[in-house]
Amino acid sequence: MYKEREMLQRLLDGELNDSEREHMLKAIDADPVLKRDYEGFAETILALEDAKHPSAPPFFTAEVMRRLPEQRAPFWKQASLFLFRPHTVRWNMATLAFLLLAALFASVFLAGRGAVQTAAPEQGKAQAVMVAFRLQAPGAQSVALAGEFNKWMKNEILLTRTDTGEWYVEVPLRAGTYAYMFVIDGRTWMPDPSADAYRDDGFGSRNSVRRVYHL
Amino acid sequence: MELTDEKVVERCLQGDRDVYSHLVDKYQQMVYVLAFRMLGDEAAAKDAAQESFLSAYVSLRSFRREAKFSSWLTSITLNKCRDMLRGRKDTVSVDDLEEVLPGRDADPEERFHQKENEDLLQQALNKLPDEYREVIVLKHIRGLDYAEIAQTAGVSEGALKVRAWRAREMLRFLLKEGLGTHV
Repeated sequence: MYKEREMLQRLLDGELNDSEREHMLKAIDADPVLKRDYEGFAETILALEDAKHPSAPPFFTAEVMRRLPEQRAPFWKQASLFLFRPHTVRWNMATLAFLLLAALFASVFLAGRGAVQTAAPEQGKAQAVMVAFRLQAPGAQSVALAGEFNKWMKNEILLTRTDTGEWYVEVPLRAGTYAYMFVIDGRTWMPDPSADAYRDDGFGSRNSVRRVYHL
Repeated sequence: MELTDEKVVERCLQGDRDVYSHLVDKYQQMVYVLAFRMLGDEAAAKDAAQESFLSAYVSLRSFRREAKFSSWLTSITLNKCRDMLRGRKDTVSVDDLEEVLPGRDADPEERFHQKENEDLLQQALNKLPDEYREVIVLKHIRGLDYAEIAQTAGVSEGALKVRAWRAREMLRFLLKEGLGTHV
């Protein structure tokens, strides 16, 4: 009996396979009590699914929107509003005097820093030494030097050919270690055979390394 | 270009408060009917529906996108209704089924006049225990399948089916009593 009722509910939920369904429908036809139950449940479900529902009250959306809490805008939006929204500034003579004094101090401070900063490069330049780069390449039409000191620009530092077929240039460098390569005829990258050392370039080749010391 | 639920949620999270009205417009009927059928009272349903939309808005950051917004909102509404029902004294628990099943209206004539003017279906739903009403409303009025109800209501599918079967038996009995017909 329980099994029958379970099957009846599963039939109402559409959960029976074809053979179960066929079997159940036959059982319902054969049993007046089961048939009455089935029809009763089916009508109950129909009453639920066809029920007329009340409509949401008028102005529902407006009321919800009125009650919504103000949401805090993200930082970037707040910053944007602060920067681009017009502001009213109130001032008095004391504020003006304070601002003038602050501006005066700032200009004196910056002027002092400027003097130091312009002096620094001079000092740095004084520490630079002229470093010679040489390459034996008699057949080359042009040779350039590219390295960490010039951001690997291959047309910036050009070597000069001497009478012996040697290419030569002097570059001012401060103390440190620099990776570099020669560029032959604007396209062939070549390490320096007389480099102090070599370092992997990360692309399967090796850069030349030059060490520059303090005098 | 159509404004999808996901886009509306995204814009709300970016601080565009007004765009939330799209979701309220779209789902107000669904939420209101669910609340009304659960609570059986228009004023309470309006409160529950509004509170559900407000809660959803405040919790938008916790909305995980793997579920549909409508499913998440249904779940919030259901919880609001549960909270309101808990506050009522006249709810019926599953243990009180024996008291609910027999028709309690003593006077058939009075019952006859009452049924002419009132929503008998809602009256029958109101007499179901909350857990039974929940599954019946979600299945036959909201139109969800058992898997969706399980996700929304946080109950196993097996338990839901048993509740649905018992709820339908009770409802059939209650409607038959109310309508005075052989349903």
